[in-house]
Amino acid sequence: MSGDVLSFTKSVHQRSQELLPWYVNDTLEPEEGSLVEQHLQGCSTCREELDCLRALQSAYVSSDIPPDSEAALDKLRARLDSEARAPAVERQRPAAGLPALLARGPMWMRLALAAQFGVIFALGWEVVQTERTGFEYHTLASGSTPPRVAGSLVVVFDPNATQRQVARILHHSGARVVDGPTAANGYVLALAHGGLQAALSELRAEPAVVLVEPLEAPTTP
Amino acid sequence: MLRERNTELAGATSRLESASADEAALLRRIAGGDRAAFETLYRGYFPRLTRFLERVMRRPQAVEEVLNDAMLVVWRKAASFSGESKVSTWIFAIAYRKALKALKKFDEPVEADDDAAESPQPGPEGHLMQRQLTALLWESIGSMSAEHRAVIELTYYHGYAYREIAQIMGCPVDTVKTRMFHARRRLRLMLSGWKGELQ
Repeated sequence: MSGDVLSFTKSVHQRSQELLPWYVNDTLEPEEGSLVEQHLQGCSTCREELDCLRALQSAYVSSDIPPDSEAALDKLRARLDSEARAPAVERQRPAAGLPALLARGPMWMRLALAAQFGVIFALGWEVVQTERTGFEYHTLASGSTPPRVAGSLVVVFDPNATQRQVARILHHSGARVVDGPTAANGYVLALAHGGLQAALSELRAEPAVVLVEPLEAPTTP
Repeated sequence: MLRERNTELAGATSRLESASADEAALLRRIAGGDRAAFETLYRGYFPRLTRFLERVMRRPQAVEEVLNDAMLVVWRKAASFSGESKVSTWIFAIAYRKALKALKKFDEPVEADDDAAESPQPGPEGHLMQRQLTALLWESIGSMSAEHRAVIELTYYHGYAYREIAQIMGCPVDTVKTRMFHARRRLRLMLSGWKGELQ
């Protein structure tokens, strides 16, 4: 930008001199190329400079040794592999849903997610069983069906999510943490006002949420 | 003549745009964790980056590590490529920053190496002058700063426009032109001396 402003104060000769190296490598904009070309016709100093620059470019390009990429790539492969084994060093990747991660992620990630899902499932099963017991107790004691308190679900946050992000997500979805973190960093959430499907959709749309699954089957008596 | 040049230029530009689109597609695959795509990009850039880093750093033993550091950034940050510049400009900018960082680690005002200023090898007579000129050229370029060498290398060897060089080096276009102006002055002096010796 500043170059364009300053260029108004420069003579055509100065601008031409300045642009000559890029005239030689053919990268000037058409109007800049025309300016240089026209100026060259009437300026022997610039023509001499042009010859000099062409000689330099030809000398410059002539010495090239094609290197061998494979040995160096082998070393980088080892670094990529060790990085893949140590998930603490996270690669920046676009937000992706669980199916995408399972389908295209590296093997360690697929295994980790499968294990995580297993733990969450076990944890969820336990919660459901506890709730069912409680539910049956109340049913027997009162003789009537009490309203289902709230939807429950399990969520796994991106390990890189900040505390502020997690708090915002919870606030938005109207959920509160009732259990966790599990060994797999899963949290059991209870919804304050029901609306399980809406909360699920909302949470699934959050890039910082890796996984969210309902814990309960539909509550038909 | 100008029309011919512009036609050639248009053809070259169209080829470059197509190559650039292919590279952008590769980068999208890399962002999705595709190692094969990454290795394709790596092999494509290895010769260019090696050459660039050798010329800018003049530390042949450090080039491979700096290049791999730069490509590791490409692997990790592929998803952050915005498409505002060409893929090659983005990658060269990463490599340039890595090179400057490595040079700082060496804590030197990057002087010429004796090794880097290649001496002319005996060869056919027709090549001798070219070899002498090349040797003098390296000697002269070797005495410049890394920034000046980068401008020369990116212009004369890699064929970048000055606006792209400004993007790679993260500086205003006027700085690129000024660096080139000073570098040219030194090279011109070298060339005049060489011509004087021949006469």
